[in-house]
Amino acid sequence: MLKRFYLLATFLFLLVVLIFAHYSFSDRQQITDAINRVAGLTQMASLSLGSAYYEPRVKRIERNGNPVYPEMMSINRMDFVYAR
Amino acid sequence: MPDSPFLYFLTLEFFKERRKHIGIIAISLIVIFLLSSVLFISSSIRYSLKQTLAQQPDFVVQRIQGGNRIDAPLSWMDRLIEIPGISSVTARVYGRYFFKSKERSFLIVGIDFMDEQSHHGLQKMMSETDIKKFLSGDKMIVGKGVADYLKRHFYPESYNFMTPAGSFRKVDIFKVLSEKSDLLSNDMIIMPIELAREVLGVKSEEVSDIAFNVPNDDEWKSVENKVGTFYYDLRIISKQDVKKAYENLYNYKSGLFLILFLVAMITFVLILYQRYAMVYSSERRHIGLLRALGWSIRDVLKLKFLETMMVIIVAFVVGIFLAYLYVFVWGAPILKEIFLGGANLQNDITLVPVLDYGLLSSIFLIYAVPFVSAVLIPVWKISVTSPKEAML
Repeated sequence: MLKRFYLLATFLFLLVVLIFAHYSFSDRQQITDAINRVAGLTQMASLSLGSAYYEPRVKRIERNGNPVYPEMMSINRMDFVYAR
Repeated sequence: MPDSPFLYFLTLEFFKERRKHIGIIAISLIVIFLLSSVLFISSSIRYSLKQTLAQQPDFVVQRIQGGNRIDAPLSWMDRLIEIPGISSVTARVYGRYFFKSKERSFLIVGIDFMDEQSHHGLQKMMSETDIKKFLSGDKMIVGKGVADYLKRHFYPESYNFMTPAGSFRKVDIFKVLSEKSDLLSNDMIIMPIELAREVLGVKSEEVSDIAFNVPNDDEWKSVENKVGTFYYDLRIISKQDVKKAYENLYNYKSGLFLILFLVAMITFVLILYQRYAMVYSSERRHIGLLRALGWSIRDVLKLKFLETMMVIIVAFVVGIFLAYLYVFVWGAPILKEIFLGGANLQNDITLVPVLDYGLLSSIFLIYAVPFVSAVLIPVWKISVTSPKEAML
Protein backbone atom coordinates (compact mmCIF):
# COMPACT_ATOMS: atom_id res chain seq x y z
CA MET A 1 0.00 0.00 0.00
CA LEU A 2 2.92 2.31 0.68
CA LYS A 3 4.02 1.94 -2.92
CA ARG A 4 0.58 3.10 -4.11
CA PHE A 5 0.73 5.98 -1.70
CA TYR A 6 4.10 7.12 -3.04
CA LEU A 7 2.82 6.77 -6.59
CA LEU A 8 -0.16 8.97 -5.78
CA ALA A 9 2.07 11.55 -4.06
CA THR A 10 4.41 11.59 -7.08
CA PHE A 11 1.46 12.03 -9.44
CA LEU A 12 0.12 15.00 -7.46
CA PHE A 13 3.59 16.52 -7.25
CA LEU A 14 3.93 16.14 -11.01
CA LEU A 15 0.64 18.01 -11.54
CA VAL A 16 1.88 20.88 -9.36
CA VAL A 17 5.21 20.95 -11.23
CA LEU A 18 3.35 21.02 -14.56
CA ILE A 19 1.29 24.03 -13.44
CA PHE A 20 4.38 25.93 -12.31
CA ALA A 21 6.32 24.97 -15.44
CA HIS A 22 3.55 26.27 -17.70
CA TYR A 23 3.18 29.38 -15.57
CA SER A 24 6.92 30.11 -15.63
CA PHE A 25 7.50 29.44 -19.31
CA SER A 26 4.33 30.96 -20.77
CA ASP A 27 4.96 34.23 -22.58
CA ARG A 28 2.82 36.55 -20.49
CA GLN A 29 4.75 39.63 -21.56
CA GLN A 30 3.91 39.20 -25.24
CA ILE A 31 0.16 39.22 -24.59
CA THR A 32 0.47 42.14 -22.15
CA ASP A 33 2.55 44.11 -24.67
CA ALA A 34 0.02 43.52 -27.47
CA ILE A 35 -2.82 44.75 -25.23
CA ASN A 36 -0.76 47.72 -24.04
CA ARG A 37 0.04 48.77 -27.61
CA VAL A 38 -3.67 48.99 -28.44
CA ALA A 39 -4.41 50.80 -25.16
CA GLY A 40 -1.50 53.18 -25.79
CA LEU A 41 -2.65 54.10 -29.27
CA THR A 42 -6.36 54.44 -28.61
CA GLN A 43 -6.01 55.60 -24.98
CA MET A 44 -8.96 53.33 -24.30
CA ALA A 45 -8.93 50.11 -22.35
CA SER A 46 -12.50 49.03 -22.56
CA LEU A 47 -13.10 45.30 -22.70
CA SER A 48 -14.19 44.01 -26.08
CA LEU A 49 -17.49 42.73 -24.76
CA GLY A 50 -19.93 40.97 -27.01
CA SER A 51 -22.71 43.37 -26.05
CA ALA A 52 -26.07 43.54 -27.77
CA TYR A 53 -27.11 46.76 -29.55
CA TYR A 54 -29.09 48.02 -26.53
CA GLU A 55 -26.18 47.51 -24.13
CA PRO A 56 -23.30 50.02 -23.82
CA ARG A 57 -20.07 48.84 -25.42
CA VAL A 58 -17.80 51.21 -23.47
CA LYS A 59 -18.67 50.68 -19.84
CA ARG A 60 -19.59 53.75 -17.87
CA ILE A 61 -17.23 54.53 -15.00
CA GLU A 62 -18.59 56.85 -12.38
CA ARG A 63 -18.14 57.49 -8.71
CA ASN A 64 -20.63 58.69 -6.19
CA GLY A 65 -20.45 62.30 -5.20
CA ASN A 66 -21.05 65.76 -6.51
CA PRO A 67 -19.27 66.28 -9.83
CA VAL A 68 -19.26 70.06 -9.38
CA TYR A 69 -17.87 69.96 -5.84
CA PRO A 70 -16.02 66.63 -5.57
CA GLU A 71 -14.61 67.57 -2.17
CA MET A 72 -18.04 68.22 -0.69
CA MET A 73 -19.30 65.32 1.40
CA SER A 74 -22.63 63.88 0.36
CA ILE A 75 -25.51 64.25 2.79
CA ASN A 76 -26.88 60.96 3.94
CA ARG A 77 -29.28 59.69 6.52
CA MET A 78 -26.65 59.42 9.25
CA ASP A 79 -25.92 63.14 8.94
CA PHE A 80 -29.49 63.89 9.96
CA VAL A 81 -29.31 61.40 12.82
CA TYR A 82 -26.21 63.07 14.23
CA ALA A 83 -27.65 66.54 13.58
CA ARG A 84 -30.49 65.75 15.95
CA MET B 1 8.10 7.88 9.33
CA PRO B 2 8.29 6.26 5.85
CA ASP B 3 8.18 2.75 7.39
CA SER B 4 6.01 3.56 10.38
CA PRO B 5 3.10 1.18 11.04
CA PHE B 6 0.80 4.18 11.39
CA LEU B 7 1.52 5.37 7.86
CA TYR B 8 1.11 1.84 6.57
CA PHE B 9 -2.25 1.53 8.33
CA LEU B 10 -3.31 4.96 7.05
CA THR B 11 -2.52 4.12 3.43
CA LEU B 12 -4.13 0.69 3.83
CA GLU B 13 -7.29 2.36 5.12
CA PHE B 14 -7.21 4.97 2.33
CA PHE B 15 -6.84 2.51 -0.52
CA LYS B 16 -9.13 -0.18 0.95
CA GLU B 17 -11.92 2.39 1.29
CA ARG B 18 -11.27 3.81 -2.17
CA ARG B 19 -14.86 3.28 -3.35
CA LYS B 20 -16.08 5.54 -0.58
CA HIS B 21 -13.38 8.13 -1.30
CA ILE B 22 -13.76 8.19 -5.09
CA GLY B 23 -17.35 9.45 -4.85
CA ILE B 24 -16.38 12.24 -2.44
CA ILE B 25 -13.30 13.16 -4.50
CA ALA B 26 -15.42 13.35 -7.67
CA ILE B 27 -17.97 15.75 -6.11
CA SER B 28 -15.20 17.88 -4.56
CA LEU B 29 -13.32 17.96 -7.83
CA ILE B 30 -16.29 19.33 -9.76
CA VAL B 31 -16.92 22.05 -7.15
CA ILE B 32 -13.23 23.10 -7.01
CA PHE B 33 -12.84 22.96 -10.79
CA LEU B 34 -15.83 25.21 -11.43
CA LEU B 35 -14.98 27.75 -8.77
CA SER B 36 -11.27 27.92 -9.68
CA SER B 37 -12.04 28.25 -13.39
CA VAL B 38 -14.31 31.22 -12.82
CA LEU B 39 -11.86 32.89 -10.46
CA PHE B 40 -8.92 32.20 -12.82
CA ILE B 41 -10.77 33.86 -15.73
CA SER B 42 -11.78 36.92 -13.71
CA SER B 43 -8.33 37.39 -12.16
CA SER B 44 -6.66 37.04 -15.57
CA ILE B 45 -8.92 39.67 -17.16
CA ARG B 46 -8.43 42.00 -14.19
CA TYR B 47 -4.65 41.53 -14.40
CA SER B 48 -4.56 42.36 -18.13
CA LEU B 49 -6.68 45.47 -17.66
CA LYS B 50 -4.61 46.70 -14.72
CA GLN B 51 -1.48 46.41 -16.86
CA THR B 52 -2.99 48.93 -19.30
CA LEU B 53 -3.41 51.60 -16.61
CA ALA B 54 0.04 53.04 -17.36
CA GLN B 55 -1.03 53.62 -20.98
CA GLN B 56 -4.24 55.37 -20.09
CA PRO B 57 -4.72 59.11 -19.66
CA ASP B 58 -4.84 60.52 -16.13
CA PHE B 59 -8.24 62.13 -16.72
CA VAL B 60 -11.08 61.94 -19.19
CA VAL B 61 -13.64 64.73 -19.51
CA GLN B 62 -17.08 63.92 -20.87
CA ARG B 63 -20.27 65.87 -21.47
CA ILE B 64 -23.41 64.46 -19.89
CA GLN B 65 -27.03 64.91 -20.84
CA GLY B 66 -29.78 62.99 -19.08
CA GLY B 67 -27.18 60.68 -17.57
CA ASN B 68 -25.73 59.69 -20.95
CA ARG B 69 -22.53 60.78 -22.60
CA ILE B 70 -22.98 63.14 -25.52
CA ASP B 71 -20.41 64.77 -27.79
CA ALA B 72 -18.48 67.60 -26.13
CA PRO B 73 -17.58 70.88 -27.87
CA LEU B 74 -14.01 71.15 -29.10
CA SER B 75 -13.73 74.52 -27.32
CA TRP B 76 -13.45 72.63 -24.02
CA MET B 77 -10.01 71.52 -25.18
CA ASP B 78 -8.78 75.12 -25.48
CA ARG B 79 -9.91 75.81 -21.94
CA LEU B 80 -8.11 72.71 -20.65
CA ILE B 81 -4.85 73.58 -22.41
CA GLU B 82 -4.78 76.92 -20.59
CA ILE B 83 -4.66 75.29 -17.13
CA PRO B 84 -1.09 75.10 -15.81
CA GLY B 85 0.05 71.54 -15.04
CA ILE B 86 -2.05 69.88 -17.74
CA SER B 87 -0.34 68.18 -20.67
CA SER B 88 -1.17 65.89 -23.60
CA VAL B 89 -4.73 67.10 -24.13
CA THR B 90 -6.19 64.70 -26.70
CA ALA B 91 -9.56 64.64 -28.36
CA ARG B 92 -11.14 61.21 -28.65
CA VAL B 93 -13.72 60.28 -31.23
CA TYR B 94 -15.32 56.88 -30.91
CA GLY B 95 -18.64 55.16 -31.29
CA ARG B 96 -20.38 52.05 -32.45
CA TYR B 97 -21.11 51.25 -36.05
CA PHE B 98 -24.00 48.85 -36.50
CA PHE B 99 -23.68 46.35 -39.27
CA LYS B 100 -26.62 44.80 -41.03
CA SER B 101 -29.66 46.07 -39.12
CA LYS B 102 -28.10 45.98 -35.65
CA GLU B 103 -27.16 42.33 -35.87
CA ARG B 104 -23.51 43.03 -35.08
CA SER B 105 -21.56 46.15 -34.16
CA PHE B 106 -17.99 47.43 -34.29
CA LEU B 107 -16.30 50.00 -32.10
CA ILE B 108 -14.81 52.71 -34.30
CA VAL B 109 -11.99 54.68 -32.71
CA GLY B 110 -10.72 57.78 -34.48
CA ILE B 111 -7.10 58.71 -33.91
CA ASP B 112 -5.41 61.99 -34.69
CA PHE B 113 -2.21 60.61 -36.21
CA MET B 114 -0.72 64.08 -36.50
CA ASP B 115 -0.64 64.17 -32.71
CA GLU B 116 2.87 63.22 -31.50
CA GLN B 117 1.67 60.75 -28.88
CA SER B 118 -0.67 58.92 -31.26
CA HIS B 119 1.97 58.87 -33.97
CA HIS B 120 4.43 57.31 -31.54
CA GLY B 121 1.79 54.74 -30.54
CA LEU B 122 1.18 53.86 -34.18
CA GLN B 123 4.89 53.49 -34.81
CA LYS B 124 5.14 51.07 -31.89
CA MET B 125 2.25 49.02 -33.21
CA MET B 126 3.37 48.86 -36.80
CA SER B 127 7.12 48.74 -36.51
CA GLU B 128 7.45 46.52 -39.55
CA THR B 129 4.90 48.22 -41.84
CA ASP B 130 4.91 51.46 -43.77
CA ILE B 131 3.06 54.17 -41.82
CA LYS B 132 3.16 56.59 -44.75
CA LYS B 133 1.21 54.09 -46.82
CA PHE B 134 -1.37 53.80 -44.06
CA LEU B 135 -1.83 57.56 -43.83
CA SER B 136 -1.98 58.04 -47.61
CA GLY B 137 -5.62 57.02 -48.12
CA ASP B 138 -8.81 55.83 -46.43
CA LYS B 139 -7.43 52.90 -44.51
CA MET B 140 -8.27 51.20 -41.24
CA ILE B 141 -6.71 48.82 -38.76
CA VAL B 142 -9.18 46.20 -37.59
CA GLY B 143 -9.39 43.70 -34.76
CA LYS B 144 -9.38 40.00 -35.50
CA GLY B 145 -13.09 39.60 -34.80
CA VAL B 146 -13.95 42.39 -37.26
CA ALA B 147 -11.63 40.98 -39.94
CA ASP B 148 -13.17 37.51 -39.64
CA TYR B 149 -16.70 38.88 -39.72
CA LEU B 150 -16.07 41.07 -42.77
CA LYS B 151 -14.35 38.21 -44.54
CA ARG B 152 -17.34 35.97 -43.92
CA HIS B 153 -19.57 38.68 -45.41
CA PHE B 154 -17.49 39.03 -48.56
CA TYR B 155 -15.50 42.12 -47.54
CA PRO B 156 -12.01 40.63 -47.27
CA GLU B 157 -10.11 43.77 -48.25
CA SER B 158 -12.38 46.78 -47.72
CA TYR B 159 -15.77 47.80 -46.40
CA ASN B 160 -18.31 50.41 -47.52
CA PHE B 161 -19.43 52.32 -44.44
CA MET B 162 -22.74 54.09 -44.65
CA THR B 163 -22.49 57.54 -43.08
CA PRO B 164 -25.42 59.18 -41.24
CA ALA B 165 -25.67 61.51 -44.28
CA GLY B 166 -26.62 58.48 -46.36
CA SER B 167 -23.48 58.34 -48.50
CA PHE B 168 -21.08 55.40 -48.71
CA ARG B 169 -17.42 55.59 -47.79
CA LYS B 170 -15.10 52.81 -48.91
CA VAL B 171 -12.31 52.12 -46.43
CA ASP B 172 -9.55 49.59 -47.06
CA ILE B 173 -8.36 47.15 -44.43
CA PHE B 174 -4.69 47.97 -43.91
CA LYS B 175 -3.79 45.65 -41.08
CA VAL B 176 -5.40 43.14 -38.74
CA LEU B 177 -4.46 43.56 -35.09
CA SER B 178 -2.79 40.66 -33.30
CA GLU B 179 -5.16 38.13 -31.77
CA LYS B 180 -3.16 38.52 -28.56
CA SER B 181 -4.85 41.89 -28.01
CA ASP B 182 -8.37 40.53 -28.62
CA LEU B 183 -9.33 41.33 -25.04
CA LEU B 184 -9.54 44.98 -26.10
CA SER B 185 -9.44 45.02 -29.87
CA ASN B 186 -11.61 42.15 -31.11
CA ASP B 187 -14.42 44.41 -32.34
CA MET B 188 -12.29 47.52 -32.78
CA ILE B 189 -11.69 49.54 -35.94
CA ILE B 190 -8.95 52.17 -35.75
CA MET B 191 -9.05 54.91 -38.39
CA PRO B 192 -7.94 58.52 -38.84
CA ILE B 193 -10.03 60.92 -36.75
CA GLU B 194 -11.56 62.82 -39.67
CA LEU B 195 -12.71 59.60 -41.30
CA ALA B 196 -14.18 58.40 -37.99
CA ARG B 197 -16.07 61.70 -37.65
CA GLU B 198 -17.61 61.19 -41.07
CA VAL B 199 -18.58 57.56 -40.46
CA LEU B 200 -19.99 58.22 -36.99
CA GLY B 201 -21.53 61.57 -37.81
CA VAL B 202 -19.59 63.55 -35.22
CA LYS B 203 -19.53 67.26 -36.10
CA SER B 204 -16.14 68.84 -36.83
CA GLU B 205 -16.41 71.16 -33.80
CA GLU B 206 -17.27 68.27 -31.46
CA VAL B 207 -15.48 65.28 -29.94
CA SER B 208 -16.63 62.16 -28.05
CA ASP B 209 -14.55 63.08 -25.01
CA ILE B 210 -11.26 64.69 -24.06
CA ALA B 211 -8.32 62.97 -22.39
CA PHE B 212 -5.47 64.75 -20.63
CA ASN B 213 -2.55 64.08 -18.32
CA VAL B 214 -1.33 65.80 -15.18
CA PRO B 215 2.34 64.77 -14.80
CA ASN B 216 2.58 65.93 -11.18
CA ASP B 217 0.52 63.53 -9.01
CA ASP B 218 0.23 66.14 -6.24
CA GLU B 219 -1.73 68.39 -8.56
CA TRP B 220 -4.32 65.77 -9.49
CA LYS B 221 -6.87 66.78 -6.89
CA SER B 222 -6.64 70.53 -7.50
CA VAL B 223 -6.76 70.11 -11.30
CA GLU B 224 -9.73 67.78 -10.95
CA ASN B 225 -11.55 70.33 -8.80
CA LYS B 226 -10.72 73.13 -11.16
CA VAL B 227 -11.86 71.30 -14.29
CA GLY B 228 -14.96 70.04 -12.48
CA THR B 229 -16.19 73.58 -11.92
CA PHE B 230 -15.95 74.62 -15.58
CA TYR B 231 -19.35 73.38 -16.70
CA TYR B 232 -22.38 71.88 -15.00
CA ASP B 233 -22.80 69.13 -17.59
CA LEU B 234 -19.19 67.98 -17.33
CA ARG B 235 -18.10 64.64 -15.89
CA ILE B 236 -14.50 63.96 -15.07
CA ILE B 237 -13.16 60.41 -14.76
CA SER B 238 -9.76 59.97 -13.15
CA LYS B 239 -7.35 57.08 -13.51
CA GLN B 240 -8.09 56.20 -9.87
CA ASP B 241 -11.77 55.72 -10.75
CA VAL B 242 -10.79 53.45 -13.63
CA LYS B 243 -8.48 51.49 -11.32
CA LYS B 244 -11.29 51.02 -8.77
CA ALA B 245 -13.65 49.94 -11.55
CA TYR B 246 -11.12 47.31 -12.66
CA GLU B 247 -10.73 46.03 -9.13
CA ASN B 248 -14.48 45.60 -8.83
CA LEU B 249 -14.83 44.10 -12.29
CA TYR B 250 -16.62 40.76 -12.29
CA ASN B 251 -17.21 40.93 -8.59
CA TYR B 252 -20.86 40.47 -9.29
CA LYS B 253 -20.30 37.55 -11.61
CA SER B 254 -17.68 35.94 -9.41
CA GLY B 255 -19.96 36.67 -6.46
CA LEU B 256 -22.78 34.85 -8.21
CA PHE B 257 -20.53 31.86 -8.68
CA LEU B 258 -19.39 32.16 -5.09
CA ILE B 259 -23.02 31.89 -3.97
CA LEU B 260 -23.46 28.83 -6.18
CA PHE B 261 -20.28 27.40 -4.75
CA LEU B 262 -21.48 28.03 -1.20
CA VAL B 263 -24.80 26.33 -1.93
CA ALA B 264 -22.99 23.36 -3.48
CA MET B 265 -20.47 23.30 -0.62
CA ILE B 266 -23.14 23.36 2.10
CA THR B 267 -25.06 20.58 0.37
CA PHE B 268 -21.85 18.63 0.08
CA VAL B 269 -21.01 19.15 3.77
CA LEU B 270 -24.54 18.14 4.77
CA ILE B 271 -24.23 14.92 2.75
CA LEU B 272 -20.88 14.23 4.37
CA TYR B 273 -22.10 15.07 7.84
CA GLN B 274 -25.16 12.91 7.43
CA ARG B 275 -22.98 10.10 6.16
CA TYR B 276 -20.71 10.20 9.16
CA ALA B 277 -23.37 11.18 11.71
CA MET B 278 -25.68 8.32 10.80
CA VAL B 279 -22.57 6.23 11.10
CA TYR B 280 -22.89 3.02 9.32
CA SER B 281 -22.43 0.09 11.59
CA SER B 282 -19.16 -0.87 9.87
CA GLU B 283 -17.68 2.60 10.49
CA ARG B 284 -18.86 2.54 14.10
CA ARG B 285 -17.51 -0.95 14.62
CA HIS B 286 -14.24 0.05 13.01
CA ILE B 287 -13.67 2.95 15.39
CA GLY B 288 -14.83 0.82 18.35
CA LEU B 289 -12.41 -1.93 17.36
CA LEU B 290 -9.49 0.50 17.19
CA ARG B 291 -10.42 1.86 20.62
CA ALA B 292 -10.69 -1.71 21.98
CA LEU B 293 -7.23 -2.48 20.61
CA GLY B 294 -5.85 0.31 22.74
CA TRP B 295 -5.91 3.28 20.34
CA SER B 296 -6.42 6.55 22.15
CA ILE B 297 -9.09 9.05 21.05
CA ARG B 298 -6.26 11.22 19.80
CA ASP B 299 -4.90 8.40 17.62
CA VAL B 300 -8.32 7.68 16.11
CA LEU B 301 -8.86 11.38 15.37
CA LYS B 302 -5.34 11.62 13.91
CA LEU B 303 -6.03 8.66 11.62
CA LYS B 304 -9.34 10.08 10.41
CA PHE B 305 -7.88 13.58 10.05
CA LEU B 306 -4.99 12.39 7.89
CA GLU B 307 -7.28 10.17 5.84
CA THR B 308 -9.57 13.16 5.21
CA MET B 309 -6.61 15.40 4.39
CA MET B 310 -5.45 12.90 1.77
CA VAL B 311 -8.89 13.05 0.14
CA ILE B 312 -8.89 16.87 0.32
CA ILE B 313 -5.39 17.24 -1.14
CA VAL B 314 -6.06 14.82 -4.01
CA ALA B 315 -9.32 16.62 -4.94
CA PHE B 316 -7.79 20.08 -4.54
CA VAL B 317 -4.62 19.47 -6.57
CA VAL B 318 -6.43 17.63 -9.38
CA GLY B 319 -9.25 20.23 -9.40
CA ILE B 320 -6.85 23.17 -9.61
CA PHE B 321 -4.78 21.42 -12.28
CA LEU B 322 -7.86 20.76 -14.43
CA ALA B 323 -9.07 24.34 -13.97
CA TYR B 324 -5.64 25.72 -14.96
CA LEU B 325 -5.56 23.46 -18.01
CA TYR B 326 -9.12 24.44 -19.00
CA VAL B 327 -8.60 28.19 -18.59
CA PHE B 328 -5.01 28.90 -19.56
CA VAL B 329 -4.26 26.09 -21.99
CA TRP B 330 -7.63 25.48 -23.67
CA GLY B 331 -8.80 29.11 -23.34
CA ALA B 332 -11.90 28.44 -21.18
CA PRO B 333 -14.46 27.57 -23.86
CA ILE B 334 -18.13 28.19 -22.86
CA LEU B 335 -17.32 29.74 -19.45
CA LYS B 336 -15.51 32.61 -21.20
CA GLU B 337 -18.78 33.58 -22.88
CA ILE B 338 -20.29 34.36 -19.48
CA PHE B 339 -17.63 37.01 -18.94
CA LEU B 340 -17.39 38.52 -22.40
CA GLY B 341 -20.92 38.00 -23.64
CA GLY B 342 -21.90 36.30 -26.85
CA ALA B 343 -24.31 38.83 -28.36
CA ASN B 344 -21.75 40.36 -30.72
CA LEU B 345 -18.63 39.05 -32.46
CA GLN B 346 -17.02 35.78 -31.47
CA ASN B 347 -14.05 36.62 -29.23
CA ASP B 348 -11.23 34.08 -28.84
CA ILE B 349 -9.17 35.90 -26.25
CA THR B 350 -5.83 34.63 -25.01
CA LEU B 351 -5.94 34.66 -21.22
CA VAL B 352 -2.73 35.61 -19.44
CA PRO B 353 -1.86 32.91 -16.87
CA VAL B 354 -2.25 34.39 -13.41
CA LEU B 355 -1.74 32.45 -10.18
CA ASP B 356 -3.10 34.36 -7.22
CA TYR B 357 -1.81 32.50 -4.16
CA GLY B 358 -4.20 34.33 -1.83
CA LEU B 359 -7.08 33.13 -3.98
CA LEU B 360 -5.83 29.55 -4.04
CA SER B 361 -5.41 29.43 -0.28
CA SER B 362 -8.89 30.91 0.19
CA ILE B 363 -10.37 28.18 -2.02
CA PHE B 364 -8.45 25.56 -0.05
CA LEU B 365 -9.64 26.90 3.31
CA ILE B 366 -13.28 27.31 2.20
CA TYR B 367 -13.22 23.72 1.02
CA ALA B 368 -11.02 22.01 3.63
CA VAL B 369 -12.32 23.45 6.92
CA PRO B 370 -15.99 22.40 6.55
CA PHE B 371 -14.93 19.06 5.10
CA VAL B 372 -12.60 18.23 8.00
CA SER B 373 -15.13 19.34 10.60
CA ALA B 374 -17.93 17.36 8.92
CA VAL B 375 -15.82 14.23 9.28
CA LEU B 376 -14.10 14.75 12.61
CA ILE B 377 -17.10 15.82 14.72
CA PRO B 378 -19.04 12.55 14.26
CA VAL B 379 -15.83 10.49 14.55
CA TRP B 380 -15.04 12.20 17.83
CA LYS B 381 -18.59 11.50 19.06
CA ILE B 382 -18.12 7.77 18.46
CA SER B 383 -14.58 7.73 19.82
CA VAL B 384 -15.60 9.11 23.20
CA THR B 385 -18.23 6.38 23.72
CA SER B 386 -17.04 3.11 25.17
CA PRO B 387 -15.74 0.60 22.57
CA LYS B 388 -18.31 -1.97 23.66
CA GLU B 389 -21.17 0.44 22.99
CA ALA B 390 -19.65 1.59 19.70
CA MET B 391 -19.37 -1.95 18.37
CA LEU B 392 -22.99 -2.83 19.11
